[in-house]
Parts: sequence; structure tokens; C-alpha cells
Amino acid sequence: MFNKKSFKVALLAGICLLPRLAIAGEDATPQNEVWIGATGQSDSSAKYGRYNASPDKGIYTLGGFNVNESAGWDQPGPYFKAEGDNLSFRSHDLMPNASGSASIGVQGLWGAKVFFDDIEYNQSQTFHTLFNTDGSLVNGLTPGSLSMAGIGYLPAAAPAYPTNSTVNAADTALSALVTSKLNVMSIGTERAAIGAALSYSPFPDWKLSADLKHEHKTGTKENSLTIGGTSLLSTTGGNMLYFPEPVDYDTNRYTVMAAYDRQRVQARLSYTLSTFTDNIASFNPADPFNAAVHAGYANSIYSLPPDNTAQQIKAQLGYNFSPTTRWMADLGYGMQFQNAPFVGSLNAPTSSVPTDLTRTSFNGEVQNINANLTMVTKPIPPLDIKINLGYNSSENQSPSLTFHAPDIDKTTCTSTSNTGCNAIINTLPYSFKTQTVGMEGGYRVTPSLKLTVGDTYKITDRTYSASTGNNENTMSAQLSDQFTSSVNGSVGISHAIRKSGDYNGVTAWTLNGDTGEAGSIEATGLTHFIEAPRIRDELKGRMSVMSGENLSLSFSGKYYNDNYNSTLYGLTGDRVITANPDMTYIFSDSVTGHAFYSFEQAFYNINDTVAVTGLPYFAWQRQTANRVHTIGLNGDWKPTEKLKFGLGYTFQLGNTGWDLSGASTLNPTTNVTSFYNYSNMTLPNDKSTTNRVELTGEYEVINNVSLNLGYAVERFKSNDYLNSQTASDPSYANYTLPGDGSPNYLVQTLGASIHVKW
Amino acid sequence: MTMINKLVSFVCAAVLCMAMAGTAAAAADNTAVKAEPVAVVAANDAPAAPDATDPKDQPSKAKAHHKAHKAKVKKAAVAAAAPATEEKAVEEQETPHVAYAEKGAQSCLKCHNETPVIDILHTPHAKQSDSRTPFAAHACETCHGASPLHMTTKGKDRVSPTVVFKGPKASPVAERNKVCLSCHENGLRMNWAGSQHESNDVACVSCHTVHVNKDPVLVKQTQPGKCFTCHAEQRAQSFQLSHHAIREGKVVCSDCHNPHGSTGPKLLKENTVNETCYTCHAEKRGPFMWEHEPVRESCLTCHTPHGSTQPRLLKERLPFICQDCHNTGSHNSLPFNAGNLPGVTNARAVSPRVMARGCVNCHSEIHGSNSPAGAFFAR
Repeated sequence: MFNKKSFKVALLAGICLLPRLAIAGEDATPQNEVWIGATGQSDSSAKYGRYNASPDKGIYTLGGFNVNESAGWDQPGPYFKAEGDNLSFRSHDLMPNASGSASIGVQGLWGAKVFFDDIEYNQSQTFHTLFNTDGSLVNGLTPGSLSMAGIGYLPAAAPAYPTNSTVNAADTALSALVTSKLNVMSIGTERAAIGAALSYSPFPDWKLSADLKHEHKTGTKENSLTIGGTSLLSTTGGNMLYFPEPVDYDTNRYTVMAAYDRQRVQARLSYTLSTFTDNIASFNPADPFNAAVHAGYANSIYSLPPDNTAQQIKAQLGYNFSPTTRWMADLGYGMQFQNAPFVGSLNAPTSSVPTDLTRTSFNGEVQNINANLTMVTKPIPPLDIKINLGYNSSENQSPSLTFHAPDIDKTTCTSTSNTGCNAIINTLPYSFKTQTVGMEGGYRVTPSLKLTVGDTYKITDRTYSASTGNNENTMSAQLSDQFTSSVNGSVGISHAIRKSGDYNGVTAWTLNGDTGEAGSIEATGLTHFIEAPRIRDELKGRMSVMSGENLSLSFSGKYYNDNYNSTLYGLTGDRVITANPDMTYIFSDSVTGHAFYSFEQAFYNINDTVAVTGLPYFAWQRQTANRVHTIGLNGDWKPTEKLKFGLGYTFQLGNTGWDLSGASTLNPTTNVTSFYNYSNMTLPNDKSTTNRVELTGEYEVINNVSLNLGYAVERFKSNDYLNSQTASDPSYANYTLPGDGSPNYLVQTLGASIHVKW
Repeated sequence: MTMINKLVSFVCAAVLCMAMAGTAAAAADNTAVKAEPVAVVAANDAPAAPDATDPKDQPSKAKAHHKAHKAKVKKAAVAAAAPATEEKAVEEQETPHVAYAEKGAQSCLKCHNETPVIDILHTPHAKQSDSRTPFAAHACETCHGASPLHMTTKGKDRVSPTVVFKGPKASPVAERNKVCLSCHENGLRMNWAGSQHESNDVACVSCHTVHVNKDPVLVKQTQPGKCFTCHAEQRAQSFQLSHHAIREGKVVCSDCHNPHGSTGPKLLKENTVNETCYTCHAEKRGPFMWEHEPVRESCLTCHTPHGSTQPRLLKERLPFICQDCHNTGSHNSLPFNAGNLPGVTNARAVSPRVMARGCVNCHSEIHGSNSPAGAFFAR
């Protein structure tokens, strides 16, 4: 009897406990999933496959998984999570764009995680070049084998600008030869990142953690350089060639952190070390146009990004002074170092030049300090106040070197009288310091109506700059309201006045030892917009309306206008306007629709002059209008519990137009019509459209096993004039361009996958 | 006799259940930090704030029926929470004598035994053995507040839980956020107070979903869609010709932004714009021997990060963007003579400065050069 009763007790106890476990284990949404499938792509396109690792047509497998295992919610024990995505296998590439992670730990005590992430970037499949990635020439070319004799190449020695020389037989012959030698290759990079994270809570309020991430980036990217000219400092230029820049980077990032958290005080102290290593220091090109002048091509060496490190120690503190007042403070101190050996130009200038560059590396160093102190308080219930003090400095402690800089392709400088060896150059370690004080007050006029006003004053100090600094005062106000239970919105305005310290546009030239810029445009009114006095007005608003339970409408928009009112030449104004209506409608329990439209226009106006030293100027103006329309339509239909469909359509039209005015056909010297044909050409608009239709379907074949189907067609069209520029042409026979050709594409994809959940 | 046996068995089972629950609770109590139960202290809260995304809460009929009773409960809560000292109020925030359900989650699960409610049991919030979690304290009521009236009323008179996070009866934003911040005002949320989202009355649950296996805003593929709900301008920009790999699911908003408040501008994770960019683009970090000042000051001088109609996320096309600041002699890059451009019929005289990358064709080290011959960013 006792045993029987005991059994019953145990059984009842078990039943009592059962719901807790059963609920957790059976009725909840399945946590684990694995899927596998295949997709077919109809065409190849680097632009289509730029980020999705699908530049080529064909059939690919795809797959992924998501596994979560842990003890029940009411039981102690470890957890384990693992997931993988984009596990695609292709004939030539193993899992491009794949990512995955695995985590294990005991919640609240410790945790460990490892992850990997792969990102492909496909820039081009039709890049034209005369170089291999090591700088050697392709297709049997040797230095100087492309003769420029007789061509009217640009820019020519005289007249330097502009040139109206005609295409001649030599140009045509050279271009034909270049074309025959060009190599066509694919350009792109791959980032492969792996990392790990550890966390441990030795005490209840403490948490220690460490993160590390290693990324290896390899591949090529499109780049270009001038080569074979005598100088970039003098009026004569060289040839310009595109080349496949080799990319072989290793980047590491380590962070350790200690955190202390209580309800009243939260603190974090962290240290981060980031290292960047470029395994290829330079690109060493041979000059296919000229072998004689640049024997050895030592100074054609093109430096690639130098190794560098950055580290930062950061302390953060949050303190709830009272239930209604909170203080937050942070202080970050960091250093950046760069001391990679110089590449190229090591033989010049020689010791016979008065000021020599004796060092073999730069020993660059930047000290960064960032500090903020913020108080947020609610002295009375309807009022909240925020006061913030901010300090940020980037003090470049690198040396300011003064030396006779070698020209880019000069191998020897025996005297300052040598062409290209007479320029005294200073390196300018620009530094910046910004101090900010801001105050914002929000007052709830009614429980639903809030008025917020603010004022921020910012001082920026610079060294080696055209302006010693700026100060900017920004006043803002915003009104937000919950008009009714289904309507809310806000409107905000701000007005900012930026003033500039003494502005001297030739500061950089003077510091570089160039004292001949007295009459230059920099001295007569060209102003850098980032430092120029400016008035900015901004208006933005948002409105959201719920009509019944089925319809939701929203609108957001923004307008700002920058007026550089004292700028004579350069950017004198810009403005941006955006408008974004959005609508969601629930047709029924099984059908939902969503539509949105976005309009954005950016407008820029610059005034400038034709600035040929020694010749009279004439003014010209350029206006750029950049307009983008985006439309999106989406719908979901779930006819049964086991079946659902999705339909999506996206359209985007981008249109950039240029309006140029100002012209002169007179020789500025003789005042007669001449080949100085300063006549503006009207640039064609740059228009592009993207259309994408997407159809998806999901059918639950059996419980927790579903079949997914997807079809998408995407079309991109662009008439950008840059796309029509061929790699070589008689009119620019001594240049090679990427020659990527049209990026237009029409790609269809069809895929199917099986998802199993448990 | 049968009835007596059943009754004895039931009592024994209940005692055993309680004992086990007590053991679990005791285990939880042994750890120093406990999840703070929600003390809904209206007096200390900001007035009811409208939710930027959720509909305003509507009066409940049930509330009217039980107004007096509820007022008593709240009054008790307020009184009990009234701190002897501010330190105690902030540090402890002990729940007043409000009646939490004795059976914890079981009381709620009796009715709410369906998805997605019970999906929370698979999430970190429900882990009882972690003393910091809501389920280590009063389970559902840790977040939803002690809700005896909700449990004792029925039908159309049922009173809502003390804190409702979503739907037409949602509590004011400040109340809801206070629940979350009682545990989460640390780490990446340390600067939430006074942040852009906080001051615009964005509720934590406007972005986060708690009762799911995986919060969509924490998943790479679905996070941008959540952010784009409000940030429609950025959504449109992500469709532009040049964009970060956001649509492709390789880059997400939180790679650069901390929506919970930050020490940098525009809710950036790092202190400055450039520090943020260098996280992925360390090759542009330098310092270089030859620095380009606007590059060093802010990448945003030339680039727009969310999308552009121009290549390389540039705000304007090359060479025109350079002309905003530069127009040196012999470098005029207007298409005064752009022979090879469509619609332009000059036989010759194409300017190399309107081809391909414009000025950057030659000044290709525009982000800085470490070559002694790189003064003009050509090496």
C-alpha cells in the first residue's frame, strides 16, 4: 500500500512538473533547423554578384543550420548553440560568403564562442590592364616597348592645358598595340574572418571578457598610377595606367574588458589593440612606355597601405545619482602608430642636396583622446534635461619633416637645380581638437505632447589648416505629439551658424615652401567647405497613422540647406530633401501588403574659375542634382496553415544631372578666338534603374519539414558615360582605363530548399 | 477512501512540487545578484510617454471596474517602494508588498500555454539558474509586474497585467523601458539615458521581441528590416548602386551603430566617424607620411555610408567632388574638352580628368601616402 501510494505521489508530482517541461520541449516553436537546397543563376555579372558571391551563372548548392541545445529553462546546465549560413558549394569556390558560429557556456557564469565569416567582393570580371599583380608586364611587353613617338598624348609638355591636338596615325597605332596587349581579368577581394570570445563572471557583479578577431583579406582591387612622367610637381605629366593592386592584408583586433554592474553604478574598463599588416609593401611596375629615362624604375614604386597599429584604453561609468538623475562619463585614450619602412625613392635625393631625407621610415604617431560627461535629470515629472560636455582630440605627433622631395619617377637628384629635385616639402601632421557643450530640455506640455529644445556649441581647433578652427552653434526644437490613439508625429527644426577662424587658403602651400601662390585661386577666394563659415537650416518630420486595425500609414521627411555665404569659389551651397511615405495594409488574416516610396535629392552648387597661372580668369558654375526614386511593394499570402507565398517588387531610379555654365573661346592673352576653347560641354545625365521581382513559396510537407521555393529576376540598366570608356582609345593612347564596360545585367535565379525543424 | 487517498496524494505532490521549487529558489538566492522585480512606481516615472511606434494604450473597461482596488495596490506599491534613502531606492528597489503569484510561471502558463508566449522559455530570460534573469525572481511577473488582478478577474472584466509591452493596452514607454533597464542599464546600454532613441520615446520593445527563440533585431539577415521601419531614408539608400553589403546580409546597422546610445556622433559604436570606419578599413588608418586633411578629419567629407548613386559611396562624382575644394592651375577638370564622352563630338582633346576616377586616376593615394614621393598622393 505504501509503495503504491508512494508511486502515486511520485506520479502526481511528475504530472505536476510535467507541464513545465512539456511546454518547454514540445509545444514551443522549434529551435533547431537545418536546410539544404540548390539554386540556379541564369547569367554572369560582377555587379550582380558584387556582395552575394554569385558573379557567375550556374547551379550551386546552398545550406545552413541552426542548433540550440540547453537544459530546460528551470534546470541548471550548459547551453550550446551553433549556426551556419550561406554554406554554398560551388565548382570553383568553397563556401564563399559563408558564416558560422558556435557557442557554449553556462549562462550567468561563463561563455565561449568561436565564429567565422567570409565576405566576397567582386569588383569586375572584365578589368583591362597591362600589368600583373607583381608589376611585371603582360603578354610579352617589355619596358619601353610601347613607343609614344609622335603621339599627341595628354597632357603634353606644351601647351599644358587645354590641348586640342588631333589624333594622328601614331596615336591610332599605339592604341591598337595597347589594345592587343591588354590582359582581361577579374578583380575582387575576399575577407575571411575568424574569431573567438570568452566571458567569465568570477563574482556576481563582475564580468571579464576577451574578444579576438583575425581577418585575412586577399585579392585585387582596381587602382591606377601615373608612370613615366618627370614630375607631378612640375607641369609635365606622365602616362596613366590602371593596374590590379595586390591585396594581402592581415588585421587583428583584441579586446579585453572588465565590467562591474550594479543598479546604481555600472562601470567598464576595456583595452583594445588593433593591428594591420600588409604582406605586400609595394607595387613595383615596369613602364611599358619608357625604358630609357627610368632605368630600374626604382621610383615608380607605388606604396601600398603601411602596417599600423592602434590601441585604446577606455573607461565608462554610469551612475544613478538618484531615481531621477543619472550621470554618465567616459574617457578614451588611444594611440596610433605607423612605422613601416619607406618603399621607393630610397635613392633620392642624394646627399648633395642640402636637405636630405635621412630616415627610412616615418615613425608616425597619433594620440587620440575622447571624453564625455553627461547628466540626465528629471527634476519635475514633465521635464527632462540633458547636459553634455564633450572633448575629442586627434593630436598628430608625427614628425613634420622638411626635405627635398624626389619626384615620383626620379632616380637621382644631384642638385637642387635638377628638374624635379628643387621642391622643398614639409610633411604636415594635421591635428584636430573638438570641444562640445550641449544642453537639451524636454517638457511634456500634456502627457502626449512633448516640446524639446536644445543648443549645442562646438569649437574645433586645427593645426596646419587653412583655418585655425571653427565654432558652431546649433539651436534646435522639436515638437512631438500623440494626437490620438492612432496618430502620432513630430516636427523638428534646427538652425546652425558656423564661423571660421582666420581663413588662409594658401596655408598648406606656404607650409610646403611654395611661396608663389599669391595670385592663385586659393588666395583669392577658394574655400574648403569643411572649414568655411556656414549656415545650416534643417527641417524634419514624421507622421504615423493607424486607421483601424488594418491600415498603417507613415511619412517621414527631411530637408536641410547649407549656405556657405562667404565662399567666393568652391562649394557655395548644398541641400538635401527626402520624403518617405509608407503603407501597410492587412487585407485579411492571410494576406498582408506593404508599399513604400522614397525620394531623395541632393543638390550641390560650386562657383569656380578657370585658373591658369598668369592668365586672366573667367568664372564658371556647376550645379549637380542627384535624384533617386525608390519604390517597394511586398505582399504575403498564407492560404493555409501549411502554405504561404511572398511577392516582392523593388524599383529604383537614380538620375544625376550636371548643369555647367560659363565659357570662353578667347585666348586669354591675345583676346582672339583660338584653340583655348573654354566651351563647356554638356555632360549627359547619369541614369540607372534597378528592377527586381521576387517570388517565394513555402509549403510544410509534413510536420516541421517544409519545402521552400524562390524565384527572382533582377535587371539593372545604366547609361553612365563612364561605362562607355574603353580601356584604350586613340584619343588617350598613353592611358589605359579599367574598360570594365557596361555593368548592365538581367539575372534570374531559381532555388529550392528543404528545411527541417525540431 | 478513494477521495481521501487522492487528496493525500495531491497534497503530497503539491508539497513535493513546492519543495522542489523552493530548492530552485534557494539555489537562485544563493547567488548574489537577483533580477530586480518590477516595482511600478508611477510617482517616480515620467508621465505617460507616447510610444513612437506603438499605438497609445487605451482605457480598459476592466480597469474601470477595479479602479479602486488597483489604486490600492499601486498605492501600496508606491508606499512600499518609497525609499528611506535614495541609495536604497536606487540600489535595492525592493518590490513592495504586492502579491506575486505563488506558483510563479506556472500561474501564467496555465492560460498562456501557446506560442509565441512560451517561446520565451527557450531564451536566456527564462533561465532560472541564472540569478540575474526574470525567471529567477518572479518569472513572468518580474517584467509584467505583480498582477493579482489580472489573475483573479475573468472575461471582459479581466484587468491587464501591470505592465503591458505591446498592443493597444501597452503601458507608457517610460514604464516599459524601466522594466528592461532595471537589468539592462549596463554594457552597451550604459548611455541609453538621454540618447536620441530615448528622448524620442522609442520603447525597447519597439525593436526587440522577447517571446521568440531569436530576436529578429539580433539576427543579421533581419536586423536592417527592423531599423528601416523608421529609418526609411536609409532603406532607400541601401538599394542604391553603391552600398555596403546590407541587403546581402553581410553588414548590419549594428556593425557601426549602437542604437542604445553612444559616446560618439550619430549613435556610432566608436568615438568618432573615422574610428568606426577603421574597424573594417584599417588600411586607411595611417598615420601616413602625407596626410589628406579632410580624410583625416572625417570620412564623411567625401563618402556617404548608407548608399550612393556614385561609385565608392561618394557623395558626388569624381572629379567634381574634388572641385568642391580644389581648382589649381592646369588641373581644370571641367569637361571643356571631353571628346570621348557620349554626345560630345570633339575629335580629340579628352580630358583625363573626366575619365574613370577623375582626379584619383593620378592622385590614387588620396587617403594618404607613405612614400617619400607621395606628397601629391600619387605614390
